[in-house]
Formats: sequence, structure tokens, C-alpha cells
Amino acid sequence: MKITYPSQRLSLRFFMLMLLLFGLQVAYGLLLAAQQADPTLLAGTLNFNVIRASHLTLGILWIVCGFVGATLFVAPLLARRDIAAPALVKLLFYALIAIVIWNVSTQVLSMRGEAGWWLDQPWLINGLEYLEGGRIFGFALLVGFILLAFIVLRTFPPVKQWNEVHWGLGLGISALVLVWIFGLFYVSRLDLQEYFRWYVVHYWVEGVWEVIHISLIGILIVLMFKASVRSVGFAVFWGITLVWLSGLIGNAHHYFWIGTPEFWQFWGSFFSAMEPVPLVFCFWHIYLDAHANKRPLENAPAFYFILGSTVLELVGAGILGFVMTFALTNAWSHGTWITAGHGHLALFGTFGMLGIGAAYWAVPAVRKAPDFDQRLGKLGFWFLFTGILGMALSFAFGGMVQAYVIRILGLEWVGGDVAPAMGVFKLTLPLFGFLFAAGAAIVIYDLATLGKPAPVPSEILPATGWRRPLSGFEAGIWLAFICLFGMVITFSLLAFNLPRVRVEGDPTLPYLLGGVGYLGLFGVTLGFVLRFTASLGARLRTPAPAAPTPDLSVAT
Amino acid sequence: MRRLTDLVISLLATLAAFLLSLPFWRDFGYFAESRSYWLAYFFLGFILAVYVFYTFIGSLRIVFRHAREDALATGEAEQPGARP
Repeated sequence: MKITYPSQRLSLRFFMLMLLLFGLQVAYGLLLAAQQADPTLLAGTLNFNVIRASHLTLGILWIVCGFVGATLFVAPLLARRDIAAPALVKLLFYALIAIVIWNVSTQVLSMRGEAGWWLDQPWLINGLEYLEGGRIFGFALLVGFILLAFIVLRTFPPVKQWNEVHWGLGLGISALVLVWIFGLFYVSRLDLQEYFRWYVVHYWVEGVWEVIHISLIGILIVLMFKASVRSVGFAVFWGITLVWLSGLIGNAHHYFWIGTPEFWQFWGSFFSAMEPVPLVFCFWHIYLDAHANKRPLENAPAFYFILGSTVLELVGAGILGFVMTFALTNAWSHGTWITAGHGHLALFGTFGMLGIGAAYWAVPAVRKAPDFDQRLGKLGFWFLFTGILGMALSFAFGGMVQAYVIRILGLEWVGGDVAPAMGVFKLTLPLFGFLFAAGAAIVIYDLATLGKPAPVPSEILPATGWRRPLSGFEAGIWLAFICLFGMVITFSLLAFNLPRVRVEGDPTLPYLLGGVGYLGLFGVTLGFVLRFTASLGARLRTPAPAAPTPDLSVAT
Repeated sequence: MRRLTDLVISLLATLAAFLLSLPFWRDFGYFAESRSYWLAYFFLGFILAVYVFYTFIGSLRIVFRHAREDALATGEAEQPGARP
């Protein structure tokens, strides 16, 4: 764990900015949870929709900061040279700060109904979910993405020398620019506008962020376990291919209820059903690379977050996305807390955890503290991991009740009938939110001060019992249970279509299946990550012959 | 034989996805007017889906093979429990 090129230090400022924005986003989240419990809190001063918009936007921006930091850390290793145009990197950093301040401060304008219309474009506030910022924000971000793509591609070797990892990261960073363009114009027809909105939101996630995610996970696995670049390159290539094969048409699961032609309901359902496939592929990829060569685990927090990212990508994005991706299930789940559970687990779990994992690898290297105290990092991981699972569970159960009360009983949100029905889950949400916030505080403190306290040697644990090596068969069993409980949840949502529920109003079957499915899924997920990390406990900082880091730029 | 097994698994997985996507539980309420178009969508979608699943199984098998080869190359495979 040490840097090879001086310019890798430039990544540090982006990781620190990431932590700052992460903390701010969590604070906004706690405020939202408090407003769920008491809707009158700050009403008129800072309305729920404003805080929610800022919470969403900050989530996107700190994840982008993590991507930029991680990319700047690994780009010199892929290029075997320092980062090109370091002055532009510094400019990008300050521009990013300006963009964040501008975005957060303009959100309040929506309370006064000011969008800043000029030339038929909303320059101050866009008002579309996930794309809240107006044109000024949009164009500034576009320039930022162009700068990033220029820096990365200028640093990379000529295209002829690229291997699969270069292609993955290069395509991901370039696509970041292209996809964002669809969010830069206003269309008065809402159905058409929604097409373009999902081009950005869905293709960012399924077509761009996933690609960057797979590439960065591959690179970090090579750095952590000295895995073969050829094997990782192969996995990166097929991971990306499967993401695109399933995810590009799979975007259509967003077209079900926005006034688009009806054939999307079949195609959207059908192709979205394949979207967990690349995530299962990534699950096996990380299992094999972590267990194949038995290298010591030098940096447990970094690996824990990378593992958390891969597992929650499968569970949060893959399984919880799968359960509501069919028109027959989405008819009940869309717009409810069920979607919010999927969103939290997918966005923070997949991409947020990757950023934090990359920071835990890069920060000790930059600060020359390879033997840093890893206890706080591990503690922070478990707080965040259990906190986000608990929040997702609260969202899921609250969403099931919400779907029944609104869509079966026909009660209205505005009338105040829905909130009492969801009452218990409106209280469990902030409880798990506090657990999550405590984890965030620990991680932020740990990373910000990492390297300053005296290092504490880790205890080497025996590889017996619960800590014995995880076999492929056992990993397969855990995966099978994850998929099984995913199917149970799918059937719980499908059950809403039955005349017994839809016509007679009896919620027993969906509630029962949902209860078993969600509790089982999150229980197995937690158990699997506990087992996986325990199986690596015996390899934590064990003495081993020094092995050079494989050359990431090698032709494969 | 392996290819045939992969193909059968892919066909079964596609069939499951296909059935979950069919709107039969809602009396085909959101089917389009043109039956020909629907047949074209089904047919094209089915082939694409079988390809995705088939590719997934094949590439996953190679990932496992790479892991075995890498373990052998690093000399770790002879240790108990090294083979995943």
C-alpha cells in the first residue's frame, strides 16, 4: 500500500470532498426521516421536497467525487506515468465545490416557484427527480465531465495498447459525458421528457456507473490480492458486456406508466429480468479473486467496503430491482417506499461503498500509513452495512403497507390516512438511520484522521469454525438463498394481482410472503457478508512473501 | 453435451423471464392491437434473452477456469481448501 506516482496524491482531495458531502447527505437524510415522523417540522422554511432533492443530488455528487478520486488514483497505474494536466485536476476540484454550493443553494428556489426561465429553458431549477439542477448546473457539470474524460484519456496510453481494464474505465468515463447530454434540454411534453430523463438516470446507472464500478472493482482486486490482470480483464469485459446486453433495453422498465406505447411493458419486463445476471457474475468474480490465491488481506476496511459494494449491488440493485421490474409487480410498487428501499440499497450500497472502499485503499497509501489502525474502519463498515439494510427493510415493509392502502383500499395520502398505516416503519426508519449516521461519522472521522494515531497491530485469528475458508459450494448455497428469497418477494408483489387481494381486499398473502422474503433476504445477506469477512480474518496482515503488484497496463 | 446443457438452462431461464413478463394475470389488458408486432417482439426478445443467458453461463465457466489456473500458477492450489 504505497503510491507509485506522485500525482496519485491528487486523488486525496476528492476523497475528502466525498466524505464532506457524504456527511451532509446523511444529515439531510436524518432531517427527512424526522419530517416523515412529524410533517410539520420546518414546513415553510425548508420543505420536504427541497430536502429530498438536496439529499438525492448530494448522493449523486459525492458518488461522483468517489469515482473521480478512485479514477485519479488508478489512472497512473494503468498508464505507467503521472496524470496528464494536473492543473486541470485542481481546476476540476474547485469547479466541483462551486457546482455543489450552487446546486444546494438553488434548491430552495423551488419553494418560491422560481425556475429561472430564459429562452424556454429552466436555468436555475429543472425540477425533474434526480435531475434537479437547472441548465447552469447542467452545463457546468458537463464541462466538469469533459475535463475528467480529457484528463483520463490524455493520461492513458495510446488506444492500441489498451487492455480490457483501460477500455472499461475509458468507455465509462467517456459515456459519463455523452449520457449527461440527454439531461440538458427541456421538452414540454412530459412523456417525451421522461424518456430523456431516464436516458440519463437509468443509463448512468446501468450503462455508465456500472461500467466504471466493474472496472474499478477489477483494478482494486488486482491491487489487493495481486490477482492476474488477464483473469480480471476477462471478468471486466464480460461483466460490462452483460450489463449492456441486459441493461440497455432494460431501461424500458421505467416506461411502464408514463404514457409510452404498451409494448414497452413486455420488453421492459423481459429484459429487466436479465439485469441481475451481470451482478451474479460480479459476485463470483469477487469470491474467486479473494479466495483463489490466499494472499494476506492487507487492508480489511478497503476490502470490506468493496465486498459490501458487490454484495449490495447484487441484493439491492439486482434482486430488489428484479422483484419490481415486471409490469405486473411494478404496477403496485412504483412510487412507493418499496422503490425507495431499492434505491437506497442500490445507490449507496453499490456506488457509495465503492467510493469509500477506494478511499480506504488510497488514503493510507497517500499518507504513507500502510499499518494504520483498521478497527474503526471495520466498525464503521458494520454500522453502515446493518444501518442501510435496516433502512431498506423499513422502506420495504412500509412500501408494502403503502401499496395496499393506496392501491387496494384507495385511500389518499393527502387525507392523512396513509401515514398512520405506515407508522411503525416511519419510526424504524430513523432508528436504523441513526445507526447508519453513526457509521458515517466513524468512517468520516477515521479517513480524515487516518495515519495520525499510533498504529495498532491486528490480531491473527485461527482459520477454524466460522472463520474457515469459504468454499465455492458454500458461497453457491448463500447465493441460492439470496435468489430464493428474491423470488419470494417477487411472488409477494405478484400476489397483489390476485382477485382475493385486488377485489376482496385481503392482504394476508402479499404481507406474509413479503415478510418472509424481505427478512430472509436481508438476513442471508448479512450472514453471508459476516461469513465472508470472517473467512478472511485468518489472512489479515499475515506474514507472506512480498509479491509485486501486477502491471495493470499489460496487454492481455 | 456442455453446450446443449448451457442451451437448455438458457432456454429455461428465458422461459421463466418470459412467463413473468406476460400480462396474462391482467387479462392481457395492456396488449397492443397488432398481433404481428407482438409476435415479432416475443420472437426477437426470446432469441436475445437466450443469447444473454447462454453467454453468461459460458463466461462464468471461464472465470472459474481462470481462478483454478491462477491458483495453480501461484503454487497455492496444493494447499488444503485452496481450490474454490
